[in-house]
Amino acid sequence: MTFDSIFQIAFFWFFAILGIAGGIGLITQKNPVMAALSLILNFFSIAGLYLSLQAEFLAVIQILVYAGAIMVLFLFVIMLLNMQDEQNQQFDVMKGLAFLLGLGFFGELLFVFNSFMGKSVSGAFPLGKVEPIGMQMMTNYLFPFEMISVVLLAALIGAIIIAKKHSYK
Amino acid sequence: MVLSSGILVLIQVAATFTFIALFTLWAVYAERKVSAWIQDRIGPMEVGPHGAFQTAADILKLILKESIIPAAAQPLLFIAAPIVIFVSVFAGYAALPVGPDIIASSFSVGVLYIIAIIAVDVIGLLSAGWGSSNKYALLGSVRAVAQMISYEIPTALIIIATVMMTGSLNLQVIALRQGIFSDVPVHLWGMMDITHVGGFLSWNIVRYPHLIPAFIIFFISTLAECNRAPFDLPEAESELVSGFHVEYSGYRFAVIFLAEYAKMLLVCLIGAILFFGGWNTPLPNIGSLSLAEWTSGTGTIAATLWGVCWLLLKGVLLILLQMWVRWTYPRLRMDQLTTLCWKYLIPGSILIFFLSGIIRLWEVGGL
Amino acid sequence: MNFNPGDIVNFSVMVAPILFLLAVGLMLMLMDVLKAHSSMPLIAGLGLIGAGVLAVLPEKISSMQAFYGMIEVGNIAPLNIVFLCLSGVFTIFFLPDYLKRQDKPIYEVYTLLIFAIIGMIMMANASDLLITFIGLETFSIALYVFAALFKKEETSNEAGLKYFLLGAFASAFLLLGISLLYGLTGYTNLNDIAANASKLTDNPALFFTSIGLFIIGFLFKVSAFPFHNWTPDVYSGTPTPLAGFMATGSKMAAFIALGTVLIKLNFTQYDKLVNVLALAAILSMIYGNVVAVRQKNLKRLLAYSSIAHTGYVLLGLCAGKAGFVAVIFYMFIYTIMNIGAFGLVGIAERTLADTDMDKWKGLGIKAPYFAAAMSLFLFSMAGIPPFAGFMSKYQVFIAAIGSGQILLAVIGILTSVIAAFYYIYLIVIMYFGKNESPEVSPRFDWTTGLGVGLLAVLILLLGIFPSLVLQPLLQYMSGSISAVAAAF
Repeated sequence: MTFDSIFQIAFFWFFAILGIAGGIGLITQKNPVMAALSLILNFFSIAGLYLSLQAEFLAVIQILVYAGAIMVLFLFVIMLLNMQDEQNQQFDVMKGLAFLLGLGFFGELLFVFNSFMGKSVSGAFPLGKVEPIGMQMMTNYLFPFEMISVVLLAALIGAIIIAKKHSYK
Repeated sequence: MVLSSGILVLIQVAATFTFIALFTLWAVYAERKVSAWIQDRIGPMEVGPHGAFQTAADILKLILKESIIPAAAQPLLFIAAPIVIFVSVFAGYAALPVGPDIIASSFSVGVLYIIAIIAVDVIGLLSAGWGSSNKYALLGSVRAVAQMISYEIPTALIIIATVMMTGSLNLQVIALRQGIFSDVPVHLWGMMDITHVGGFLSWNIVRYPHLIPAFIIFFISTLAECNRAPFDLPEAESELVSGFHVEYSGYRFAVIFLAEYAKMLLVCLIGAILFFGGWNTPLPNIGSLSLAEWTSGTGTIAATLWGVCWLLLKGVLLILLQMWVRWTYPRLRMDQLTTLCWKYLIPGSILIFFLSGIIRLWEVGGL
Repeated sequence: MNFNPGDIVNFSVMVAPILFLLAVGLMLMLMDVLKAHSSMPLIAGLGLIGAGVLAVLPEKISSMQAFYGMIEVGNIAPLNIVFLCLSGVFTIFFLPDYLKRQDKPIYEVYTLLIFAIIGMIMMANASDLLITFIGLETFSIALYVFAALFKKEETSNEAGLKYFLLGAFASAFLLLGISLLYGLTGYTNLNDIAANASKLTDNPALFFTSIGLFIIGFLFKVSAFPFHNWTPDVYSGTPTPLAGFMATGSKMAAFIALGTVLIKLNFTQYDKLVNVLALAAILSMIYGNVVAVRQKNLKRLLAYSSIAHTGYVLLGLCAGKAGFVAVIFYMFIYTIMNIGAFGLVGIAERTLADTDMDKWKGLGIKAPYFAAAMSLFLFSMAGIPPFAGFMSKYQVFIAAIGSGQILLAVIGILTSVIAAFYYIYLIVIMYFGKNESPEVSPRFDWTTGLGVGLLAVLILLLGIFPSLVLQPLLQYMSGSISAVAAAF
């Protein structure tokens, strides 16, 4: 085995385990700041996995958008709101039911994903690099690309309506 | 085979680290001397000739001191923060072309990678502030984050504008296209072909005059990103003691300190590459007096040395400019800081962004 | 990739309504800045009407795709654009008056309304699942803001937060469904997926999981039974005319989008899918109608009735392609009567200081026109013959019976009887209740009067001549072009 292939395998397992650890940390941490930091760890690991798929652009954007921008705002809000640690909660029937449902859904997804094993997605084009993404965005996906600006504009106006100080009571 | 390539990687990393550490030693000394000269003092004089070893002595003292973890601090965050801060900045160097043939990782989205990885710095700052369990530290880190994520926007927009003008996200290619070795023809102001003239004439900032205000915006926002005066509100000694790293001491403080100077150098080198031709020589070919070819090249050791020297020279000049600004302007207020960013720099950078697109379109004959 | 400038021009004609509405939305933003507030509703309304006209103008109505197969133009598209625009126009009749009465001059609402309708048009006419999702998000974001519009009021806060959290959750299901479908076939384009239908049946577990998640996302948006919980709280916290819009326009768009996708995938051949939809339909009809009986608050009553109506539309959807016209027809009629009912509740809300049913006692004598209009809408919703509501229910039941879903139709008819009880109970209260309310009574101003009059006339007209809408619907559906001119 060459250095590269050993490195690739190590790279994958490193980020896969780190990502799962981040996900578990997110739901088990009682302190909201620690939970958010675990989520950042998870996002990072996913960016690492994108890298191992040679999707450099996707990896960089993942870090830039999620770890760099969204999660920082998350942390910011948590710190400004001065949220307390989650209290120990009582177990009740609804929670048990929700847990069972979630477990069932997880099992179903595992079963479904298992059928993906060893298959490659047909018809998909090589995504993740800058040039193909740029080409696709300006041709095939021009319409969604432009229309996302409407979504963002609507969200912006909405945020302003909710956050603005109005003169009325 | 496995071992040798692994060792090679380690050597590269170690070399970069050593270089940054040495640079920091020099930069701190320079900072103190520059501030002294600006304020008509003489600065450190005791250790070594003209105080040259002063910072080395300081750092030695810092490393030997006990690094205290406050009892109230959250140990995991407190310990991880300096590492995250330093690693994020240090990782940025991976995509930096130091010379015509020296670049650790020449991958196709180099600039975006640097923007992204530097943004991670913010998380380190936040965890330092939060983990210290100290109100000054928290206030400082919250200020730092607000400032950094605001000023990231104009920085990124300007970087994308220069990327548009050169047509690549790879910093090595961006540097290459600003000199005599360019793979595409180099035009001055869209008219003269100066591919074989090179020198300062083929730098982005000279070829496209609209990048002069772009560089000013870039310079101002990178100052703010490095939390340097006049944007040093997060550290604001007079109000916040010294901001997010108030609880840090010993080698942990040294690491944060190192990261700060490493970031300064990084943004200055990026500025040099994006606007001032990177490792390209400033001397043009004038007729038979081919100065550009004498002072740069590719492939040979001499050429590499030339390239490294030119790049470092440009970077250091920019750093001296940063220091000059630091000791000249008073600190901004928080509202002035946000006003400057959101009302002036961002609209300005959007304008330059559009202008770049239009100029580029005109250049390739689309208009 | 060949690039033909002529195609782009052609496409811009085809997506003209969307581009036009975009321009109107931006213009409204500008008007807000320039303080030209009083004419904003007018411009928004005219813009919507203009977009509707633009949609039916082109003579070529055979099915076409625009923007590299991203969006469907022609076929049923022009008509559903008209219907969606009309739902906005109807809302605008009641909105300015309501905001004035509530003393909350929030003019950004009109811009958001326009953007919401752009999203609905996109989603209803998408031929790519990406566009479906982007359209859904566009109007969902606008609706979240509508729910939280009166941010200083607790009910509105509750509505906004509930709707936002649950809506985001539902969007996640939808997105997971879409991505699994992409993983299964390698396409997001509906026509490509339909062309590779064999890949779907290759892996039934994955197929049913993905399409099931997809359906869950939409069932949430239309507040069908297992995903209905948010509806009463959100509708009662949302500004009333906007709640009317939420209950009609967005549901219409969601039903058209869901119907289009399912029909393209030829879903009636999979019994499981039909059964799931049928189950949701039955439970929605029963739950909505039974719970509505006990409601004392009018907005909550209308919310539960809206769940029940969702059940009827789902019943039409179960009939497959044959029921699709009935679905659109039902949603259009429902839009008319529901926006009318919500509008009237909105007018009465401020005057009577509440949306409590008891406050409406004796309104029949004190505000005869108001009570008459409300009675008309309620009769129509109950499905009493001369009104349009009867025709829409009739169409849906016929479609269900035609496709062999006799049981569904029977349950639908039985629950309609329960529904008639609570609708008529309100009418009884208005006309025969003891007059306890204070001396003030709700009055129309000219916009609301015009709106109510228009809606009432439409209800009567379509109740007697349903073919006015059904005929063009059928013709557009079958793609016969020549007959369209005759219908208009």
